[in-house]
Amino acid sequence: MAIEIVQCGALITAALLMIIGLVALVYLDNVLKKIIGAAFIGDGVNLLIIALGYRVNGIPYIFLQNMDVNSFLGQASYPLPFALVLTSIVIGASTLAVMLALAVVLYKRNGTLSATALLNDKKLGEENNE
Amino acid sequence: MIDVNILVQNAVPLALYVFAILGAIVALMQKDLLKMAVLTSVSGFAVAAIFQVLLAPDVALTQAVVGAAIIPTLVGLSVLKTREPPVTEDVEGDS
Amino acid sequence: MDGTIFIPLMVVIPIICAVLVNLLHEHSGVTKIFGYIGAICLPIVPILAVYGNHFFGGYQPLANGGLTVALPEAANAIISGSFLELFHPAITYAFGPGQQVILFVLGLVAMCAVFISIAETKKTSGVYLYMLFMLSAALMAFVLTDDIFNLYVFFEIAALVQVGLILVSRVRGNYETGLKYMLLGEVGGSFMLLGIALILGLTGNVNISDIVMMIHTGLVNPTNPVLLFAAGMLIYGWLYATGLPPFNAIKSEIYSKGLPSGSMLLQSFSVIACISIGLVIIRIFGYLPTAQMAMLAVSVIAMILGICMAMVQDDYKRIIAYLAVGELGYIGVGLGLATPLSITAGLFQAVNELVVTSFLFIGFGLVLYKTRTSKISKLGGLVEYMPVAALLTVLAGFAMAGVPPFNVFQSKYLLCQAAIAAGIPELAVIMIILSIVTFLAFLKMAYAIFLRPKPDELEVSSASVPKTTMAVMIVFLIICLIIGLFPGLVVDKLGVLALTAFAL
Repeated sequence: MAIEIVQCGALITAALLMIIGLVALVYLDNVLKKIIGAAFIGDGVNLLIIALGYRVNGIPYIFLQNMDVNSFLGQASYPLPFALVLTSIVIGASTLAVMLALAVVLYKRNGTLSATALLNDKKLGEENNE
Repeated sequence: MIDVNILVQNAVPLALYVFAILGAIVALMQKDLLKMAVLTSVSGFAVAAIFQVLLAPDVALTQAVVGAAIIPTLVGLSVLKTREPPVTEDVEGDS
Repeated sequence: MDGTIFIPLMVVIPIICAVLVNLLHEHSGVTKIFGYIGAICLPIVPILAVYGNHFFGGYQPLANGGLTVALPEAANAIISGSFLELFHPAITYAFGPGQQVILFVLGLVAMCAVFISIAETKKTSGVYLYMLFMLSAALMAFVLTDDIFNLYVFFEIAALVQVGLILVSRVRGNYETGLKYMLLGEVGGSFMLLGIALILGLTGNVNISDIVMMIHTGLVNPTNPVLLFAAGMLIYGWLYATGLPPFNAIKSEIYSKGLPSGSMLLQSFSVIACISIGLVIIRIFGYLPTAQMAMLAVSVIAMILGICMAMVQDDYKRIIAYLAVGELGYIGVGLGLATPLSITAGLFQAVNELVVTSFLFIGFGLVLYKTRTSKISKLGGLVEYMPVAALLTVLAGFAMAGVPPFNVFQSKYLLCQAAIAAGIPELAVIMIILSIVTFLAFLKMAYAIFLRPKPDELEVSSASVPKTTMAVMIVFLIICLIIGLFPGLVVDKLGVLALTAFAL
């Protein structure tokens, strides 16, 4: 009973990370902080997927030579989510890198990192309609 | 003896969860962006350790490299870049 | 060797071409050759391929004798005779008649985009070609894949490449738009992954056919609230990828910031994502009227909003962008009605839209090429300078508005029939009225740009229209006419794909 706290806690942590990321994305003004918030959302989702594959009192899904097949099948965690998360982590990192590069270019052009100054719809619209 | 074992088994994951969440919040609350870049690795590393606890050792390895090393480095580099004076030349574009 | 070997090649060839042109981008001549070869392969491979499934790594379902190694006894006891035997252990690509039509038209559009980009730039840019090929590969995989996580991976690849396509154009404000699109995309992608994760948690599966089988045979409780939440998350991802409201503003900004050849593939992404993710939602959550009603409602709002926003703009690039988003609403209506006829009509509309919207983007790209301005109020009298191109552009506009004998007329007619057959004749009325409004908007725009007297301050460059661009426009016109006159060629094949949405 006590061990199931691990899985529940992981799910709650995942949810909190997603919420923190969303709040940062919506309310913080600095573009870099927005980008990091977006990365935290991805972290939270990854953590949720990993928590799905967890097995109470289980062992990692690595099959070694001297293991008994039947007890391995009964105890090993479910490896499919883990394979998915490996891909997802790399995708998240590359997306983050591109976003950071964009932020640096925007800073060099405009001299500010404030989202209200950079990404304002109105300012963009006026530029277009000049 | 058994009590200590269960305590450790429960306490370590819980501590890691607290670290992951607090690390994220504290990193986002920093005024100094360079500190934020460094503190990002706290959350990344805690998440990696949680993956280990949740029986996913290879994912933990990847996340430790990506979340605790590569992402803070990238963020730190871009923070340093944004401390240089901006290029003020007006970039011309089509309409 | 059977013809199913061509199924993975549809995705692999563009990826190999993309890597090669990127590696060799310093040698302009070699890049050009690889670009041509890869572009020609894009529409040809779907024709050569034979219908069937491709299992990556050769891991077929166990019922077909997928494993050569003997299973451990404990595993065998669990698996044999249960549903586990039917599951697809590998990433599966399904290729049928419907996919063939969609991929052929998509390949044709991508080929034309590559040709135009090579013809219009003096020095062939390997990096730009890389992004065109990569987006084509992602779109091909979107249509083929039967694996929901594979869909997500290519979704993210496509999101990255789309931003790249915007950044290379030197339109003002493209970096801001790119960053905004990526931030929204990170949320949209994460939410879609969350939906996939919840489905994975309930079913333990990422293969769409297996998920559908598990839900419809009662292995998973279909009324589980977690499943409803997953449906919501997937619909959110669908809205983001398609650019239906509330994402229509950012999507049309994206279109108007790209080069003409890039915009062709950008709108192809919206269309293909609309039908592929939409079909996934229909297949998995077909038993949920709520999901279908949500899709239907958003699509109707998108149609009305798209045309209303287009009417008040003065920038013809923005007008086409908003109209393109509005037209996506028709596909959404077809999918949301969720009868076999309406889904066929929606897919038919999608195929037509791939061609017609690309046609329009090229046509108005030529206007920009000649005049360097995109303000309608500054334009006029261009028919003297580019008579044939002007005629073709106006015809493209008529095709989009649904004037017979062009292809969109047939698909909109089919959509109206489907709406009446589904018992919602009001939808048919709305669609007809909106088509007429679109037609009027085009007449107004065509008059302002081509026919009215030329303003004095307008300077028209004397550069002649590139021959490749004209050839591509004529090819598109021929496709529009062929599909419009012989709709049976396409509709029969798409009907097969529509029926698979209801099969287990």
